[in-house]
Amino acid sequence: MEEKLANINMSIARNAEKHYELYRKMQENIDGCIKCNLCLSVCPVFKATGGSGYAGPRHLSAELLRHLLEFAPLVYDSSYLCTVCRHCEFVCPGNVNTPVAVLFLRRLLDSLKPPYKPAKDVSKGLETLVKLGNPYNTPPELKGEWLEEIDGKEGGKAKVLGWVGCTSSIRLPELAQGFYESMKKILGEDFTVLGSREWCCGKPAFLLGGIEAARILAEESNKRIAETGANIIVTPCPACYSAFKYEQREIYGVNPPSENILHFTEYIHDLMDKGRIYFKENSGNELPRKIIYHDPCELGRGVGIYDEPRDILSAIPGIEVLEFDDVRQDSVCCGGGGGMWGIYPEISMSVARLKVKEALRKGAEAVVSACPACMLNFKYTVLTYDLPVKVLDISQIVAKALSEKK
Amino acid sequence: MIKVETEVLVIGRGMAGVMAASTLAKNGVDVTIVAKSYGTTALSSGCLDILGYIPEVQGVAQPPFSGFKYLVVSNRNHPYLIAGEGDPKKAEDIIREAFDSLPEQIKNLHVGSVENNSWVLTSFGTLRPTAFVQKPLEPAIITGEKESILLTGIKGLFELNPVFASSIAMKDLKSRSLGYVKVKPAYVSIRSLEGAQYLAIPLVSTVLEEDEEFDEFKKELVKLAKRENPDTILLPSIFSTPNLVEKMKELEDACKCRIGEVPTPPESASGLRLQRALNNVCSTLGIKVFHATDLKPEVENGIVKRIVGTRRTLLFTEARKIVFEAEKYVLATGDLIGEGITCDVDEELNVAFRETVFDLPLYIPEGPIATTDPFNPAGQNFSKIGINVNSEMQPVDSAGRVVYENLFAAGSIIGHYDYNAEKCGMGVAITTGYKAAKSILSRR
Ligand SMILES: Cc1cc2nc3c(=O)[nH]c(=O)nc-3n(C[C@H](O)[C@H](O)[C@H](O)COP(=O)(O)OP(=O)(O)OC[C@H]3O[C@@H](n4cnc5c(N)ncnc54)[C@H](O)[C@@H]3O)c2cc1C
Ligand code: SF4
Ligand code: SF4
Repeated sequence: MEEKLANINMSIARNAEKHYELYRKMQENIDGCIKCNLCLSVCPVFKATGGSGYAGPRHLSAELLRHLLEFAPLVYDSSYLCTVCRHCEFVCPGNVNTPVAVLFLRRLLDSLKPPYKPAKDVSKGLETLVKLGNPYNTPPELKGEWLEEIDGKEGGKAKVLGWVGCTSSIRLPELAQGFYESMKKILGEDFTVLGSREWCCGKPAFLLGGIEAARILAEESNKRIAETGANIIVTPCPACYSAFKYEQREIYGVNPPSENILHFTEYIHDLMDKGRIYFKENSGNELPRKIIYHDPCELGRGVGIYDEPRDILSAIPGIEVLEFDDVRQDSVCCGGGGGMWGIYPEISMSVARLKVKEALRKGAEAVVSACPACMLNFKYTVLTYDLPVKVLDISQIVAKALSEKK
Repeated sequence: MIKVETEVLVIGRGMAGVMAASTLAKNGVDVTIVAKSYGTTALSSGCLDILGYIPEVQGVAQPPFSGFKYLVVSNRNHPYLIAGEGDPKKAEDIIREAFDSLPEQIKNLHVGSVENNSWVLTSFGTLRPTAFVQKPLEPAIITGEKESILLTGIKGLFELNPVFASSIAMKDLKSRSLGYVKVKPAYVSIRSLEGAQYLAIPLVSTVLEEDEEFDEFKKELVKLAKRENPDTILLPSIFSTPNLVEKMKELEDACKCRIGEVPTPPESASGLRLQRALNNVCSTLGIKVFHATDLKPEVENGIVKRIVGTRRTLLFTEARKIVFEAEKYVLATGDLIGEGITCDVDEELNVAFRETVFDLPLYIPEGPIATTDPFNPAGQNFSKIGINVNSEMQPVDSAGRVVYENLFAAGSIIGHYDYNAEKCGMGVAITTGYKAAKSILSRR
């Protein structure tokens, strides 16, 4: 063991020059900590792990500083225990950016291939991700299965491409269908999806530290998108959205497939503004009357979309929109992001359970989000803990509420 | 690049920034906030101090405004006096007006009055004066009535050491001839946190959100109450969420005594509750809050034209830009903790202070910037570092000239006072935030 660690340290030291710029920035980044503990008061993982196992942003950053060139297993093991929710970064008076530190570590783990394996090894996961084009170890041809139930069609040329995303396509057919039906109602023949040909946008690979894998995936995705001739891409997944709109260019060095990347809520909001769509009265039979909106981290803190989903939901007559105690940039993470749901589902769900309990206290009949990762986590949390609340994505609500006329 | 247009841009989301923004919004001004993070407000104990001490003359201000007669002599540049155009009566009036117009969410959180200082028992065992405490801290007010207090720590949580604190408290009380108020130490444990490697207040409050854990905790407290039969049990500030504050009543009923929190060092629940209330003020009034770092102004002819900021990405890559264009700007960026001011140290270890957004001229007191005693009653010079403003809350240079016609300032970015030694932090933030908003309103 000792020897193995020494080996890693050697290889890190050898790579130090290559990573020098990053090291320096990391050091500066972490140096700002004034030990105020604000980050601990918002970190979902710190709270869920009960103060053992995950040291939380403050301590993790301190460990990182000490072990920057000399990694300890503690740091390795912590590096996948972060949902990259960025809440700590948004509250930290000292400008410490723990999610960046975590992603940096993951990236090092990927590029250095250390002989010491962290508690959870993601390298296999990254390999299958690149091979199959999804993080769920699912054969690509099954990715369009959700279309069968609703007689949907995949492929062909169209003005607008619906990018469904892996989580919706594979794990949440109801979300994929809600999205598809909403878009079809509005656009008809001008809308298409890639279905079984849809690939992975690269985001999960990036979050697990595999920048090279992310680049390969992004290029393949963009090639497939180009086949449809679409120049507008709409997606219900904030992670895919942010990958296409920002990270592909900023981080993986790939040209995005289009300059018109829209989140589903942006697209619907725009049509609402232009008076081109209408919502019918909710009778309470098909849709819950009282819902609570959860700000997805990736959509809120990530790309700054807070109002569009709220405006849409409040515009539907017969739906009352409740709010959590902490909203918008202060919204507490559901626990499912940053690869956590795949690696430590039990932690993800114990975080989500607290949010669901708050929703129930407030009288919500459904927890509504605008992100497949949140929905997946909430859905399994509700099943696991047997909690009496519905879990819906905003696209499912829009699909039911859209009306032909005023 | 994102572009945000607004009538007034407030920089900072602490007490001063939100006070300015909410006053403007209530008067129909389109106002937007940008901040890089939380600041000192979220780290505070959430009491609203007006004035407790006048360190220059070692005086106690009881009631708060009685201290103004010293202040006019010892520190004419105090932001209160500046806001009152040098006249202590006017200063009092503006403070009263400002506290009157506090948003409901903030008023509802607290009990107290601008006309009186209460003495509150802290987690260090000291008594500190303040005008308003949050309701969960009300039992920590030493009223002068005979009472027995059980100062109760949580095993493993260092923020309150009841043995140490109660011995300090007894000394302090005796020196005030209040020796008949008894403070005794006690401990409770939270079973599931006994083995925790890193125990911190946020963990305690998360655990208490679980019904079974809360019931266990209640049982422990009831046992303690039965054994010691106190009038009051004081705990560290751990009830972070509205739900937990609600449940404190349940504890009181079960223990048949008062249950409260003492002001506790960061990260205390009371600081978070205040910040959450401020966040709520913004969402209720429809004030948009943006998160951005590295704010840089663009200035033309003595007017701030726009502020360009950065939205950080997930790696240190070329960041995304965000531009704010407003008619007027309020700088409410706090002090060294909130990072409205930073301290650069060069290779020769020279220390230079800098206002972080506009690089405004700073007031820096003469003499050493800090003493070795953190509790020095005379205060610390570094606390007094800040910008100079005129009575309209416009930053001015050392000659008193307005720096930018459309720039205003509020809160602890302003110099010439020591919130800690004087116990006046939130009072200054509220008053100057209010005054900055009024100045802007009078210019519309
Ligand atoms: C431990 C502690 C306890 C305290 N307890 C009390 C108490 O109980 N009662 C009391 O009255 N006072 C207390 N104080 C003092 C009080 O907290 C402060 O005086 C007050 O909160 C200052 O408020 P502010 O709005 O001016 O600044 P802050 O709350 O610090 O807000 C500054 C804001 O500006 C933002 N910001 C700063 N720089 C930049 C930048 N360059 N770009 C963008 N945004 C920026 C910050 O992120 C933050 O949002 C306490 C202080 C401390 C340290
Ligand atoms: S919030 Fe920032 S400064 Fe405070 S303890 Fe955490 S990392 Fe350190
Ligand atoms: S990004 Fe979220 S999960 Fe990760 S350390 Fe910060 S608060 Fe915790």
